[in-house]
Amino acid sequence: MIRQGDIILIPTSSVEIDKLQPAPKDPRGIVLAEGETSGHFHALVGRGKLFRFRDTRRDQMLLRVTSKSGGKIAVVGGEINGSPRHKTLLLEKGDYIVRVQRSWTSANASRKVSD
Amino acid sequence: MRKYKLTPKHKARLPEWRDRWIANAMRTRGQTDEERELARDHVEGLYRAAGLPPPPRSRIVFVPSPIVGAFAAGFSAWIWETRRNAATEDAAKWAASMAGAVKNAIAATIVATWDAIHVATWDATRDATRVAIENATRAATEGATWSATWSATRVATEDATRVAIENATRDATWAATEDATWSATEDATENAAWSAMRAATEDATWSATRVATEDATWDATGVATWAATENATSAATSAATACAGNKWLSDLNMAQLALDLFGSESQSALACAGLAYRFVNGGSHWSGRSAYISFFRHVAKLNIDYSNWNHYERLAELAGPRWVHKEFCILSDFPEVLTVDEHNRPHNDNGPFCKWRDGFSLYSIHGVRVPEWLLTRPDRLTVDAINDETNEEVRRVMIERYGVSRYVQDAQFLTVHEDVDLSGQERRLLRRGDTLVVEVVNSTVDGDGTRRRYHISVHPELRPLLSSGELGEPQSMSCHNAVASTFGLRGEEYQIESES
Repeated sequence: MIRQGDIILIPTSSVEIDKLQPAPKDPRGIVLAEGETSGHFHALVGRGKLFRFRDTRRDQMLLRVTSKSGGKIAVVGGEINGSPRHKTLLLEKGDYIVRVQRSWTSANASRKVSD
Repeated sequence: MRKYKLTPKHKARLPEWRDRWIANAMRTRGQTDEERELARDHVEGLYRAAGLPPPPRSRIVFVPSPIVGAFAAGFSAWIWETRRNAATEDAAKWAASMAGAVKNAIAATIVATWDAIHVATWDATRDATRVAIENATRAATEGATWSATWSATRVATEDATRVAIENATRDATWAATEDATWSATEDATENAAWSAMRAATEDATWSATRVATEDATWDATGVATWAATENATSAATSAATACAGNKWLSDLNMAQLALDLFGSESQSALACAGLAYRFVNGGSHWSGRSAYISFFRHVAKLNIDYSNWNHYERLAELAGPRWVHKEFCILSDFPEVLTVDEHNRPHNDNGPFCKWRDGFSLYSIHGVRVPEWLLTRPDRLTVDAINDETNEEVRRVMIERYGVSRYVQDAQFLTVHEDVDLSGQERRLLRRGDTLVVEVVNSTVDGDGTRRRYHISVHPELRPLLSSGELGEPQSMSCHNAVASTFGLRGEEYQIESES
């Protein structure tokens, strides 16, 4: 399990292929999440694909790293005093469920954390 | 009867039909004159469908918002009931006085909402009050004694009522009003016309359609439309209608208006406004059923007689909520603003989520109704204001807007648990009342050598926050469990190998 700021990647091998829907194309690349305040985003550096699927009642996101040598997760933009918000992390080849951190806002409600 | 089976061709049109009715429920374009004229025709059609004589067209009244509609309908119902019971001369005289009060009140411009209620009440009850005046004239000989009695009692009852309404809480006021006048107002807000109409149009077609179709189609049209619009539209309408008798008494000073109009009878008239929901129909805001039934009418073309239903369906497109009384019908315009968040909850960060054309506005942050000042007067948002707020949901919204980190610092939270995370950074779990936050420090060092500190609100029982909006099971109080819960995980599932 890998964490970069407000996202985590959970290695998985249990998601069935026929449940996966390709995520809409993003001209910036494979974007996993983005911050609302500074315009930064978490993206895959390397070859891979992003999918959406529905698990029980949840909309989930699956990242498939296809390169044999794996890939990297980097934060693009939103530097603070010239430094990236979070260090780049290595990823092995394989499938990962991507989750975005949520905070509790009120009874029966939570929202994505945007740093 | 052989059940209709959804064909692939018809099935392909379900999303379009659902979206069309969602758009209808969320409509913010104002009613046109042509639509008002058409609406009058269909209101008449509704009454005829129910076997009732329609009210004259002058008593099919249009109002700018449901708050005006609820009060005008309640007041008008009370006036008609008083007129019906004006058997005794005293009552007739009272009715005559009341008619004068209505007219005077119309002449006096106080607030836009008041004026609209005056006008609508007057339009809906003109005949009743005119007849009452005639009755009163016949009893003119006793006028002197009546006036004396009226003057003597009015001041005392007015003062008593004013004190009761201004000082009591809204619930106490409601209880007092309801207890004292329940039976009278029950009669005045009789919803026989409403019931008859509903039976003749909506219910009849509903039953016929349900018998002839399958549940799946209801899910795809009615349920889908309802799910997408219910939160926002019911908040927009119900807030202004079902609560007319209590909540808005203080917000809009309706007690004063009722006193101006009805004098010592103001409590009864207010109670009628509170009960006006008994004969309300949501109009465009109740688009779920219309989405379902109209699909079978226009797409599947079921062999059902839709002639009565037609009036109901058209009115769902031509007007907002309506109040249907034997003697009058009051219809509201559409709102000017109606916004929701990604979960279809009433929401607007920068202004009212719902605003009607008379200016009547409602404020909501992700489905939590909040006071107007929270959005328009941020300078009033202090730690004291947050702590004084008794509604937990509103308080949470206030804390968010104040800034969780700033609030934790200013409001002196207690530490429930503390530890060190994987990268050696301190974490604290902090509590104040039911508010629980986890304080974490970024593992990446910023360019200036410092690390950013975050305060993240977590569920008071550390239940995992699932992306569907659902919650997991409670967990024991620890920083690790708290952080895990923000990713929808339990502490034992949250095993990080690398982090930045």
